Amino acid sequence: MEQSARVLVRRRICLPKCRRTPSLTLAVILTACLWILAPDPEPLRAQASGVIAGTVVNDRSGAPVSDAQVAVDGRNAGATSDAAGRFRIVGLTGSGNVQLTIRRIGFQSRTMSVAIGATDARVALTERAMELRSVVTTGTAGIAEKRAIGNAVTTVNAAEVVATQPVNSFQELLNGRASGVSITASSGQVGTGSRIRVRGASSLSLSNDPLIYVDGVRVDNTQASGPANQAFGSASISRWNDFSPDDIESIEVIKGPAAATLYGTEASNGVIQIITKKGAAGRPVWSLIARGGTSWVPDWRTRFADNYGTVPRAGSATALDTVSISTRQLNDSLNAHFGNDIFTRGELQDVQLSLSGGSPTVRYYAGGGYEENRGAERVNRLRRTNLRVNVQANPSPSFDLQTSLGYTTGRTSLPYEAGGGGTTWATYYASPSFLYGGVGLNTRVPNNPQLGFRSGPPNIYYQAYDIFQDADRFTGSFQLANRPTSWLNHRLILGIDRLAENNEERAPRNDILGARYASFAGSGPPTSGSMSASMRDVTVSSYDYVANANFALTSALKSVTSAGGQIYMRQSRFRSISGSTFPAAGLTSIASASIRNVGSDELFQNNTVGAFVQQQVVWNDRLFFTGAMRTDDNSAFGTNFDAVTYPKLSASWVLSDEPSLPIPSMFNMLRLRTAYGASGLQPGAFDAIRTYTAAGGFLTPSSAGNPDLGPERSTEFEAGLDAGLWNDRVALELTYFKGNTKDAILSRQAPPSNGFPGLQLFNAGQVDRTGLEWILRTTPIRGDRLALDLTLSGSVNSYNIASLGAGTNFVSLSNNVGHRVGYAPGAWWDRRVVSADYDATTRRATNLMCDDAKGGTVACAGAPRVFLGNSVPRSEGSLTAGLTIFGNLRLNSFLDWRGGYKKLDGNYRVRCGAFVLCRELYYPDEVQNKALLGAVQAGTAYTHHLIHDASFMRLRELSATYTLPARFAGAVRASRATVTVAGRNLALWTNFPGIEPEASFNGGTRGGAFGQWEQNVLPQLRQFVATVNFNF
Amino acid sequence: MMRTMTMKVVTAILAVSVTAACSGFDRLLSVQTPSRLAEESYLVPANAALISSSAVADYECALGGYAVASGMASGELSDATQTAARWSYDRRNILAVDATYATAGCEGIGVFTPINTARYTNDQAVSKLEEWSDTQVPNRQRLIALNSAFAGLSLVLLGEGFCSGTINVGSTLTPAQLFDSAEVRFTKAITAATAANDAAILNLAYAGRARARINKANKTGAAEDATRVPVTFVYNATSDATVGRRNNRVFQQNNQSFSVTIAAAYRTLNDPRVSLTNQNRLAADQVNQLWTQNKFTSLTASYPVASGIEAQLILAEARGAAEGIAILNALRARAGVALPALTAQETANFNDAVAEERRRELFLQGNRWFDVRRFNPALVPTTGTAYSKGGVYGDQRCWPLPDAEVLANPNTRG
Repeated sequence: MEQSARVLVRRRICLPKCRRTPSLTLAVILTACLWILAPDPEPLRAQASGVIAGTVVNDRSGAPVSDAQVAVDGRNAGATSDAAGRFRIVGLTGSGNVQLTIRRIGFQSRTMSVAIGATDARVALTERAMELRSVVTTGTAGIAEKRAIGNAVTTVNAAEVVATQPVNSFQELLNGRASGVSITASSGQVGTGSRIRVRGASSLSLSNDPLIYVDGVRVDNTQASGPANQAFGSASISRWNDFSPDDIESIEVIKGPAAATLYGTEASNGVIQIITKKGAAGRPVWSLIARGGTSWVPDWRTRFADNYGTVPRAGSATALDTVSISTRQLNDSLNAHFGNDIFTRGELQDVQLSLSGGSPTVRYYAGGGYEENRGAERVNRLRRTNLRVNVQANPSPSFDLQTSLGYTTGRTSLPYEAGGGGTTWATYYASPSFLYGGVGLNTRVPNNPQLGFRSGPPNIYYQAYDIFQDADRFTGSFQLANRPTSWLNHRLILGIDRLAENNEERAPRNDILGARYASFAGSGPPTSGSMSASMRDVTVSSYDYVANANFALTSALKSVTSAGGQIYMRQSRFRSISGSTFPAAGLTSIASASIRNVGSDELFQNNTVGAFVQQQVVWNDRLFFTGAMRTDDNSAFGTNFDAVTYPKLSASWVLSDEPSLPIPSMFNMLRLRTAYGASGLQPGAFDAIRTYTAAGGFLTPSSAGNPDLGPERSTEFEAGLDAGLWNDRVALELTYFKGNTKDAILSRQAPPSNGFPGLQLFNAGQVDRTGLEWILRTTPIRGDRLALDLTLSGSVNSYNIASLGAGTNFVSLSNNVGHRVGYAPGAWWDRRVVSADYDATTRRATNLMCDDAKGGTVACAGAPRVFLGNSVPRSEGSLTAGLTIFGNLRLNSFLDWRGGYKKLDGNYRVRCGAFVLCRELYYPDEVQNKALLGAVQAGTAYTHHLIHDASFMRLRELSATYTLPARFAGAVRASRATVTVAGRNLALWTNFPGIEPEASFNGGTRGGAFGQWEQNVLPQLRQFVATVNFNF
Repeated sequence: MMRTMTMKVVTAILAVSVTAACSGFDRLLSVQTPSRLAEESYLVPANAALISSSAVADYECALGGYAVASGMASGELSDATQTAARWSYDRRNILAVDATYATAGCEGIGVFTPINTARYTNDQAVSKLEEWSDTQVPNRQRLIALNSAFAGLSLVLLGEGFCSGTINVGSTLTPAQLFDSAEVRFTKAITAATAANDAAILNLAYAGRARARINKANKTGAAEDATRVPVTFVYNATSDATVGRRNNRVFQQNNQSFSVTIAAAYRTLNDPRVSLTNQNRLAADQVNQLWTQNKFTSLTASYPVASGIEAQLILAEARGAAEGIAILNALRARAGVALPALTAQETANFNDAVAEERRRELFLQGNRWFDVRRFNPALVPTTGTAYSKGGVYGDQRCWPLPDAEVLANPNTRG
């Protein structure tokens, strides 16, 4: 009977979907296997002599809590909870009740009475809002307790977030959850990613990307790479996708130079450390997570502006009518001819399986998974397989060994967008002219196969191009820690990060398409196809040694002396080849192309060697002083530049542990901290040397170089407080920072008459910065039936250029982005049309007058560029609200925002300035603001009218997680089962008039650190995801 | 006792490892740069021939980009793409802020940077060759002649294409000043080529100096040089299919990628010197009909840097009147062209006749743009006409000095 019920369930749930959802099938098979493999659950409500067993859970989320120490008061007995939260104490004599005390870092300890023989004890622990005993590994000489560190360390409890929220990528995990970390999304395409900035952007010309560490090992910190499907030099595939959120235990973020001094010459943009899951001692715990979801472009039928154009007037041989075309109309035409919509529904399937457990001497975590994510454009797809094995061993009391090995492989297929063309291009810039002969052509023949789309219908794009990236990445570390004596410990970490990318852009020979669609005629006569392949290969090797010596100077005073050295070696290789003109359809290899080109073969090597010493003095375990010094030398420093040294000082004082101080009783914890330090940012591998590059047997100038070039040096002071109030009902972390970047490396356009093309870097100038970051956690309702917790996290920052070097107060980055003394770096600067006359006969704005930057106006031809606004966000934050009902249903909402910056609406620029599609150009009489009309009618000459406040707030996540009653979980032999239903990107509030405030380029001429553009980029998708999570 | 031992061992290990690590620092910090060569390794006498030929290659690439870009500006070509950044050439309204003409490389049909790079590397080659001795560098005089001539040609292009220019981050120079500087280099080339007894370079230098002189309206000087160049002389740039930079740019842009089409004004000339093919289809911009040129037949087709025909045209212009018309007619009558002599009506205005013959003879060789400035023909299409892809045609007859130079070069500011 039971068997048939299972079969029935299987048929109903699985079979209809098996054919098209391989990962769901996989999930079901795995579940079935686990069902069979899983040990029988403990008999419920059983009594066993001499034993107490049970489960430790988080009272807020119901999630199991591992590594909790469960001790029996007054007896020498106890146990530690395993990865499923289970514990079992044996060998107890007697009967009746005993007192159990349960302790776990990060939670309030709890004492409860349990009868000997009970095997179903449920221990719900309350998380501390503020925990100073938790250890931090980032930015410290060894492992340190949070209380000893003078700077803010933000920790994101990844495992808990992933368990309940619709988080499917690393950037979704980090977004809004770490104050001071700003995440700028690029596109709504699946597989594309975000640029992550810690405390804004302080470097004028170098990368503003933070350093990334995985389990103590430095890894390649490129944020996006791959085929330039956005054109303008922008690649959009996110390298953050290489880190599966399901493998991550926690993320630590340290911000700014004061915290990052020990990381030396590349660390001034902060450090993000990913700490992967480790096994907990105890019996093996299987965990299975299966996700399924769907996503779409919200409101796409009505979201994009109508376009205007002229078409032949019926019954006339010459006259033209002005008409408009809408997305709905385009979609109807597409349906009539191809039978599908412009955008489709995306699908997500993801299965992750892990096993963890071990003995007190050897613990393991092994996990793996497969994800398939399809986007709202039919060819947009991400497939990824990831594996992880982490093992920790303590072969003797003085040795710890730890290895962390992660591997991921997969393919991301992207359609073109932005400057590359594609569905958004075809749709946003559609024109009624493409129903006839084309723009400006007085062709009377309708039935243009483009159906009004620019270049061609989306289906034709998908047929014509195949763009993808295959990426394999291995990240591994080996750590050996040794305590030869009671006062000395030291450790060595060896790490490798190896990334191999193959990026291909294929346009197969397709004579039929080429003959029908002019834009797809391809290159070379006849329509003959092309392909390009580029390989990017990165290896980062790191060696990190640290020794700590502890001495008790007096009974109250302790000294910790640390010294260490690091070697980082990074090698990147780029190779690209291309071919065109395939002799026959079906051939797409370079070897079969008639014309073959070698694009590039570049090797970049960059090595850093550094060492530090640190001295810490501890008084009564509540007052900590730390001083450190770091020296670095780097292969990219100019030949005239030597090693660089960075200092650091910090102090931390746990006031609430100070018996003599009259701390108000509402503070259950209060700490003050302050830190001062410096770190740097090195230039790129070739920035210092003047070089030539070879092409076709000849050499040509490549880089002008600068032999005096040194690293940027950032110095920062930060101060803050951590407070726990009203028995941890309220916790506050507040950090103020003030600092500057000196010798800021500035790129200038090398004057072309100097002979060398491109940019030249030099040390000049100073950028000052200040900011405030906060996290406020409260638990206004804390009951067994109802609990509410709120977290408000955020930051504000202010950047100001103090100098740009002698004799310079303005450096132009592009025609509307520049650095000016007294303003934020990379702000918007352009001429601003403030008034115009209107000639009713020609219907053109005339006599354009611009802001003269002195409060008056001047003819626009000679007008100066005036400040239009910042291009980098000045504030960001989030509000998380969680409601737990009856201990097993948790509702979570997550709202995040960014503000204080402007973005360029490139869609409007292209529609009006380049392609003459906007209504204003056809009905100029209607435009009240003639200055605006003047700017629009001037084509692409002005940009001030395109630059708008892009502040926004988004209801990012809303989820409900239900923990199934134990008897249901037990029915599938699971110890715990949860079901989560969640939505993403559900609502948006913004004043930005463009399509999507978050859309932007990841790099290239319209992206980079400053001056974000939105041009023909897919908006963020709305997503619904259902997740089931079983522990066996 | 045991504890002391352990401490000693640990200290020793630490000391040894620190020492070992330190001794290797220099090695750790040295990196390879296999794809780029540092200047001090490149500019050595052993590389003299490479330095010389590389500078020539810089000019060849610059000329290819210039032929296409100036071809659009002067109405020989029309842009056939949907890339708005290229339309300003076509529309004759290049702005000083525009990036393509200012900083793009020759492959991306940039002009200002590639021409300046060619001027710089040829000048640099000459100064290095002059530093070195004949024993260090075989054929040194020949190389000096060659690179002097190409430095001169680079300055000719700079003066012809731009309303003003600069040399080595110097102050703003007028085209006439740039042609003067070109003439100095051609003169040096003539001296060195004479010493080296190299007829081809000598002819190249004379043809180049004739061009610089006629550009300044120095007809006597121009005629003097032009007469020395044999009619059959041609100095070709070389091409290569496998390296984008070395492609025949006109063929690559027009016949391979279809990024430009032949402008309407050339399609019906019925002249063997302007041989075209109608591809009978719309270009990718869906505005222009696609026409391709037949002058250069592949990516590897060589293209003229200077020629006896150009010298004859300069000579005709310099001599004027009957003698000039006779020279033009002789060119028309030559084998392979075989066109009838110009009619009285066609030669009624001599300047127009010269300009017309030049536009056909030197089709797509990068000469028309400056002719549009100095002969001042009516612009086609006329200024103010709507540009079919957006905007209206401007009235430019030369390109402005780009902001990329002005903002980075303190000497250009008042």
